[in-house]
Amino acid sequence: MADLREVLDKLLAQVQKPARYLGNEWNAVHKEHDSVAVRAVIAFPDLYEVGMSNLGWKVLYEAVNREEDLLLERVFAPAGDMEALMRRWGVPLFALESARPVKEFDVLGFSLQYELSYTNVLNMLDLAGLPLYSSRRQEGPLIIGGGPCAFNPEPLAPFFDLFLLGDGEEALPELLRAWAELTREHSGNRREILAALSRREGVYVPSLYRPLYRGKVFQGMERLDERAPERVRKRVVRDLDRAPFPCAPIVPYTGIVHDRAALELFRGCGRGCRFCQAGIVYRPVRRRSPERLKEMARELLQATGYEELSLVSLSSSDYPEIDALVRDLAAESPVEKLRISLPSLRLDAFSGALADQIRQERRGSLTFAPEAGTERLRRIIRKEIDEGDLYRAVGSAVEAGWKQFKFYFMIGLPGETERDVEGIADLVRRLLDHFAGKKERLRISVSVATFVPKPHTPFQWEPQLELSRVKERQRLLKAAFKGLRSVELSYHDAEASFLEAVFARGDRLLAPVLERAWRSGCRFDGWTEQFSLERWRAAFQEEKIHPESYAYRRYAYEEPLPWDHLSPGVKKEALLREHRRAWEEAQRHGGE
Amino acid sequence: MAESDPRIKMRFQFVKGDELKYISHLDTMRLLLRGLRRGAFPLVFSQGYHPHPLLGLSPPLPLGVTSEAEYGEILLREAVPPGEFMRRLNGCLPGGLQLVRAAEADLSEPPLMAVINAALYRAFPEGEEGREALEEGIRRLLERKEIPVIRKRQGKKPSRVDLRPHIFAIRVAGEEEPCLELLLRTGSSGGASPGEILRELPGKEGADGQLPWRLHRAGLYIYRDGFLREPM
Repeated sequence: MADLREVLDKLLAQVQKPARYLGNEWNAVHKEHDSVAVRAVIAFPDLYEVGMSNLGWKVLYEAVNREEDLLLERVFAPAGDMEALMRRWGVPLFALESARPVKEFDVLGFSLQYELSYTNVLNMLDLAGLPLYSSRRQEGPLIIGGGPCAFNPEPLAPFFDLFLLGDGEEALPELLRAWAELTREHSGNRREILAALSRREGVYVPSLYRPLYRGKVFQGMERLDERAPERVRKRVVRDLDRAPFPCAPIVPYTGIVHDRAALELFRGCGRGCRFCQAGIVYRPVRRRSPERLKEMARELLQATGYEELSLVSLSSSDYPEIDALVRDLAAESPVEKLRISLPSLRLDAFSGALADQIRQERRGSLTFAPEAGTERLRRIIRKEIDEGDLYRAVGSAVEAGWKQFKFYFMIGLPGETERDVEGIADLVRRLLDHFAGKKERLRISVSVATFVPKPHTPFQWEPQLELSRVKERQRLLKAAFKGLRSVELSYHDAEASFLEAVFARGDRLLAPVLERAWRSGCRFDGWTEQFSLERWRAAFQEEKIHPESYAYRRYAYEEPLPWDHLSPGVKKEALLREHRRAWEEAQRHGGE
Repeated sequence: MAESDPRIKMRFQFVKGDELKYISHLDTMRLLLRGLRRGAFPLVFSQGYHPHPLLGLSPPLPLGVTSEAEYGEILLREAVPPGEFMRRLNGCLPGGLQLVRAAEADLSEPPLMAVINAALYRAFPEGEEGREALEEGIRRLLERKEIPVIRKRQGKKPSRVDLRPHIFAIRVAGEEEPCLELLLRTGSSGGASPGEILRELPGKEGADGQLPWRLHRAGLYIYRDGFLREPM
């Protein structure tokens, strides 16, 4: 089939933000399809504005496209208006760069960042004209997935041919070539090809494993093919200085969520917050050298024309000599009026010098994540900061001219009591009092998320706080913040967090629920205005699944978990030890 | 206010092709600014917390319309020969948006946005359309003393506007395949978009709210005392 440009031209006249679907942005890579051995598409199951703000797939875009024999194009979830037109006019999901149907590519890879994007994954497969279930696809593109959710992809398992665990910049180009080779060797016999691929590090082929159940209780995984490993180990890139990085990333036309140049300082995080999945799955900490970073920054700014450079990592201020790095980046900038920003700041690693260096940003707000309102609870979750750190960090920032602050907290954390919830308001109040003498009052916004137990974390055995009690605590919080002027309180949709918990620790029994929910119209579940728990409840009911048994369950240590056969490189015993320590902390400091 | 003394006001004309007809005015602005940064031009920045280069553009081109006559002006700290300016900037811009002319303008000249007040559009009907039918449609449209429409803008109350005074002229043109030429008021003192006018043509409503015309902006002008003058 030729490309779809002619018909798209008609469709684009009728949709909101047609610039999402053009595919010819600055630095987009256009290769001749006939000139390469493997054609792949990376799919991001959310809107363009969200997907284009993510760094992960851009690393892969660079890693694959710099290889002459490989090609990687992009596709995002079409917005509702575009989807309706595509379905009406029979236009299949197409890759942006070539406007060719996704179905015609060799490999379609989904970036799995967030559980609430799963209905979009199914919708995109369907829009592409592909059968949803992997068992029904003997031809057409290989469907693969990667990203943090690949560490427990069980609810998606029947829809995917394979998942790639861990860093993809080396693994993906290798996999694409292996796929092409094996396809020739086995003349397209999918089962054989997949079995052969499963021997590669980081490759998880779900069809080679069968979950065992007693009733609806998971009993463990049975391996169906000897070639597949008992435990799939993630891929790790050892030397980031030599790994590919998108120094000439695509620059969108239309405004997106994070419209700036992103520079990844390091991968992994040396802290050990017990709720944090990223802290585990991105291990170990691997830093780029200051020399390499400066070189990358120069290339990035010259190739994009961006005026803002964002230093991204799980906890960027933990970079050794971050002050010096920021100073050098500013001094050696090839563009004028460069703004440097750090999206995530550690309260105990935020210095006056750093505050000064990123002062151009002081018009905006500075973000810190104390996570819990009391010292006791912070110890339980191992967020090792104290109130002194908070005063020091905010003090440095105020000195440097900042007036607006944003704080992230969580409620529903293991061991949390109502006192801890009120403690959030108390902490903010004390902070305001502490800085009351200043001419201008601090403006603070407090954003409160609901704790979601995630696989491969020390809290993976913990139940989520029941929805009704989460809502109670949100009310409590609201009451506690009453009278705190100049503070803006917001919290995440508790119902969406409930569904996130169900799918985060989900197993394959959830796949039919997912399909049903999608068929009943669920899309963009991460978007509050589109999310409907009612529709989801109906889907669970029809499949006779109790979502509560996933979200609220406290797993026993000896119980097999649906993700035990997938390894992020941290032993289960280590997680278990950390979990025990959390409870020892709780007992030492009283509480529930 | 600029923070350093500008030396040069560079004016340029650019074309917007099919590839980029779906990017908005704001997107076009962003694209040019990033092109200017990629080209490392000596830009003059505004003062204040959020310094930005001083770039001005001609009145917005409606979404979905191609153009051969868009204009921009940018303040530069140092002199750059117009030819080099055009070459270097074109190298930093995609094929769908390219400069075709550049020239220094006097710093005291008023901004383009303030003086451009007329736009010439060509509308090509999709499918077969007889010259007579088009002429008859225009005649009936221009006979109307008032062409009231309701404008809905995001986040604003719908307002009632009379399009008739915004039409300077409409005629049938084109040798083999007929097209319409519309000369409409545009710019800061109000105006009409070609889509609004064409929707009022009898018999050309189009299905699915889709406009059965391919639209192109052929010129932007300063229209005064019955004379059309090109901005540069």
